[in-house]
Amino acid sequence: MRVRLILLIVSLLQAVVAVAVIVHSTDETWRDYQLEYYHQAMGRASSPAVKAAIERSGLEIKQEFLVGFGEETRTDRCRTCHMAIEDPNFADGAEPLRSHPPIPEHPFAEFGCTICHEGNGRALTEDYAHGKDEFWPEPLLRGPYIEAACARCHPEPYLEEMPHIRRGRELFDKYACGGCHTLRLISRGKLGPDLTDVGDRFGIPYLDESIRVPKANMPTSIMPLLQVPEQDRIDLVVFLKSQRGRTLVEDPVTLRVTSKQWKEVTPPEVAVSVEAGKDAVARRSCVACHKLGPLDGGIAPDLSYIGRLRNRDYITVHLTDPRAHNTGSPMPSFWMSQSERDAIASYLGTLTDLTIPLSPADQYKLLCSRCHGAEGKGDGVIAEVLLPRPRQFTNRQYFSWLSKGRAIRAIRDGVPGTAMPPFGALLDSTGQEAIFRYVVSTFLADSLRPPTGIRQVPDSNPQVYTESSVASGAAIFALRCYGCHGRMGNGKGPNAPDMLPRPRDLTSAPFFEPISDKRIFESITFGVVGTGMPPWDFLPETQRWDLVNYVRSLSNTGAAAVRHEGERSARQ
Amino acid sequence: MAPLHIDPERSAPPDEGRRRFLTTVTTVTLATAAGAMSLFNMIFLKPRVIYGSSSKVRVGRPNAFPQGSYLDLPAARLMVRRDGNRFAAISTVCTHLGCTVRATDVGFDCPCHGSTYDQQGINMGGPAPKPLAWYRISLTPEGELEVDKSDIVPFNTYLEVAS
Amino acid sequence: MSVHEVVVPQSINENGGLAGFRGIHRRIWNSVFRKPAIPQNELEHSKAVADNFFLHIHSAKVHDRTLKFRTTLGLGLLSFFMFIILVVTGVLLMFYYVPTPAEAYNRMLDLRGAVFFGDILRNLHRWAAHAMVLLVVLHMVRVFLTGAHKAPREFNWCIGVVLLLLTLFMSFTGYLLPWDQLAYWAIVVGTSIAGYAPVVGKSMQFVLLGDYSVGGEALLRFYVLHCVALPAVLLALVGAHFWRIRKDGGLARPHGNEEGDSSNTKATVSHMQPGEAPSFERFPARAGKTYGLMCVVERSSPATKVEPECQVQSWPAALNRELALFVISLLVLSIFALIFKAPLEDPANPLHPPNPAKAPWYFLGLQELVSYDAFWGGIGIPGILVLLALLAPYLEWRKGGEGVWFHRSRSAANWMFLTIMLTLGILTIIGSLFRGVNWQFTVPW
Repeated sequence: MRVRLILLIVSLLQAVVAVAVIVHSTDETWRDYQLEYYHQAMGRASSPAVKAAIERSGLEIKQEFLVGFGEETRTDRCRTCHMAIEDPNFADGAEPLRSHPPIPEHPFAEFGCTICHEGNGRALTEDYAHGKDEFWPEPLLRGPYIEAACARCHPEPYLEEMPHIRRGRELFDKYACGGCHTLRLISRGKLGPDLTDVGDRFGIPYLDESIRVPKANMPTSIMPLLQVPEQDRIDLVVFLKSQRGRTLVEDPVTLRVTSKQWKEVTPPEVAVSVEAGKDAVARRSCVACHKLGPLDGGIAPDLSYIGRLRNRDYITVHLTDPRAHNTGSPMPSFWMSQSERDAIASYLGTLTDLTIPLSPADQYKLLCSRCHGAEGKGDGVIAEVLLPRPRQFTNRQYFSWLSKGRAIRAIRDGVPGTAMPPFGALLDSTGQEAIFRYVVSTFLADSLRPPTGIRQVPDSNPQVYTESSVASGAAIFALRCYGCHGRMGNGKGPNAPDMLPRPRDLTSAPFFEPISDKRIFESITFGVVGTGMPPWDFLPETQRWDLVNYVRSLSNTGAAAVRHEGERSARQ
Repeated sequence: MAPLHIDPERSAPPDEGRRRFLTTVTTVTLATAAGAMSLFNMIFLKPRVIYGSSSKVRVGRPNAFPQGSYLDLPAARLMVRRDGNRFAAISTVCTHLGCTVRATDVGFDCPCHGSTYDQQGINMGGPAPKPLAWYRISLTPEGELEVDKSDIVPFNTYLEVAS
Repeated sequence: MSVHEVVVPQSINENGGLAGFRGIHRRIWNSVFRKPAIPQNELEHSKAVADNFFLHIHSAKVHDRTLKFRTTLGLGLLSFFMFIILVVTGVLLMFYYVPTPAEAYNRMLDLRGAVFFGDILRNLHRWAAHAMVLLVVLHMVRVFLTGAHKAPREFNWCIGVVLLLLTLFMSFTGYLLPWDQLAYWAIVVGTSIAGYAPVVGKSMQFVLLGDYSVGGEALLRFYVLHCVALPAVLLALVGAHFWRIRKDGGLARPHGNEEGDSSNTKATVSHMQPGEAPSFERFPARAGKTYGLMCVVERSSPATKVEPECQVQSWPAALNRELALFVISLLVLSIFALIFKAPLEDPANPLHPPNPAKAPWYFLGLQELVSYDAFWGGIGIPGILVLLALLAPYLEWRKGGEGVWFHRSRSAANWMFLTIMLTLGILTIIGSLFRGVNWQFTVPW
């Protein structure tokens, strides 16, 4: 009896569920919209024929089967809800019952809706159709962003009716995006991700956020924080969203041919003259990052008096391979001819106009604060993108150990392998001394503790630079050093992002070239006070020397070291 | 646990009437639910959208047709003709072996076996056994002409449109 | 009314015409069912079960213990009901499905909106599939914990293990068919696990996918496997599984008086024939007489002399319970299908793996293991576990504990089994809920 009762109850419940299923399956919003449309259309009907037509109409899913755009076949059922888009009587109607504004040459029956508006043409509820669910890759394009869809069939040169995308294209050049990013047939930057099909891969919010906060989507991004005003950003995003890899008017053959031609083009040659160089600097939007006179991109060093600090060779090499002088430089390698590099170098060489203020405080503000920060915290406007980071003058521990001689040398000769230029070209030895005093007194309050204890460091490397020595150094390195300096020794180990100052890039030849084995050994043995580098004095001395040799091999300065040794012993 | 030797079904109080009532109600409910579910499945099988070409073809607004003009739509295999204020939609599928006939100023010609039809689609010559079919043509609420190819109407059924 | 009563109207020989139609409904009924519409007495009840093709899988009478919910928890039956629901909904869904990369996802979209009842059917199918995997596993756990896999049911247990693997494979092949990101990457991950098998792994993966990567060929192959090949094998094995239940003497029952229920003893004694020695065994190992055709069994069969009162008619007792269970399972599934939508993510895109890319949930325990060691997690450990499962009844060959939950003599085996199952369960939970981006440990709240 109990079983029978249970059976009866669940049967009744099942019947109730069947009713619920009917309600669920017939509760469709589009039915309401269609009824509403017929109701309103009846009121607006002009002739008995139209009235008769309305009376004959039933509720049904309306769909357009669209072929001929690219390789896809699209099914648009938008008209199921948007009944009135072709009905001129509904010009003042409220969505979804509103006539579409007239667009010539785009008959609805042939184009459908989603080719321009995107969204999900097959869906029959607003959330799905307008791509509001998180899983539809192409949500409805609204406002200015709809131009991104126009560009699928109307590529450059853009039509008059597409003002945002036209402006976005100009802004792409203005902000020198092409310096880092590749965009098919537009730019050849290699530093950042390829943007050729960026519009296919990402939605509007993602693109917008990537410009606003580059690190938001990829924490390791080195893209600078460009100060892009909102209107510029919208236009840039419209332009980026239109980049789908291939427009619908290009067939695969055209695509191949144009891409091939584009690849084979060599950079244009220019006259090697100051004028041409000035022109190139303007054309290349160097000030999108650098400072030059009144214009300041706020990302890269000041070029206003670069002629006094760097010679022509340095600039040419820097333009050819920005990582040649400084392995951590974020400067993009531009696609340019040697003549253009020379022209730019000649122009920059003429930029010598600088009045050096008298007081060390003003000198600091003019020369140092862009990198080291007004308060000496190593957080100047461009510090974020520099690698190695500018020294933090408030790091008392570090500066307590740093000898005055080394500090003065750094001011005078610069620090190779970093962005620190040789200020000896601007300041004489008194000036160098003065600015050193200024830094010590202002940021460290003269309270440098003198180094305690005497470091006993042999002058020369007893361990001959041989393959076996390097190999045993490598083994120790893999055990002890990889966490911070990284597997490749490039200072990008797993712990590196949490450390300030950052671990040294050991592959930087410019940095290690002028440095003696003695100093490397010293840093390994005693650590570097004020940084994350701990002392490794518990390692046997021979192992430390093997490490020195291995570090040398990373920056390919090992042979140089051997040569130094040879010269030194010969002198002795 | 029930005593071992007593069947719980049999040991129920002798209330045959109540049991029968229960059984009947249960059976009816279950049958109803099962019937409803089966019905849903039947409706499920009836397509609400189709994946080929639609049977309804929109051919534009009436004023797009000058007096006495005709519009041949080979893809949809039909022709729309305007006579005065009357519109007709005539199939262009030859009644002989299904070739697509060409509309001409005086009627229709079949390219396959030479059948000819007059302007109303009446077979005039060749092997064609009967006249071309006429389709229902009507106005949509938006004011467009729409031909329903699934609805064959008697010969000479026109749509009158007030101009 | 007798079953064999055949109504022959007198008039049929004398004059033809309309007279032939008299009583035709009864003749048609009798030709189909050979019995009255509603069986009235016990003989008719037995006949109704024995004579009906769909019901004769039952014996005419069953032991009352079989019908107790706690004996089986209804898990095997529920698994079978899930299978039936899956077949019905699956066949219906096939009417709208096209197994090509270009169309598959579109058809999912259409089922979601443009097909009447399509979303409910898809939800039902999806949730029933998940439920079936879960129920089959629970059924296995139940069988082991009640010792029902022991002799003489060892081979039926093995069939059951194969059925479990088939169920998993069915679900896995079905997982790909929506062709969304979820499906695509789950299959990429799942089939790569297969690729780790020694020697044959790569070729197995190649044969399964019909290509070196998951694409249109894989979709077609999975479709055929999911809709034709696997269900056919599964159905045949389910038949064998059921058939053997009866051949092996019905559900596993305790020997003698293992259940420790004193009422049994009394009952047996009270129905003793005069002069017979009292039997304290509820299920004597050797019966003097078996239940004949109504219950063909060879061993451990209920003895007639002590047993008849423990037996109840399958019709209506068993059938009512089964029907109730079926309606309950359908009811729960329908409510589930109404409330929870089957997931459908963005269309499959081989260029953009989601992070993390996860296999179907029942393989996440394996994926978790694979994240430690590809070979051992993907092939080694699961292979050993399946082998262990197949050998379990042969390893645990001593008699005792059959049909009793957590029997004391089997506690070692039970604990071992439970530990393995719980470990797998915990790994699955970790894999599904506690693994985030880059398979790193995350907390779901």
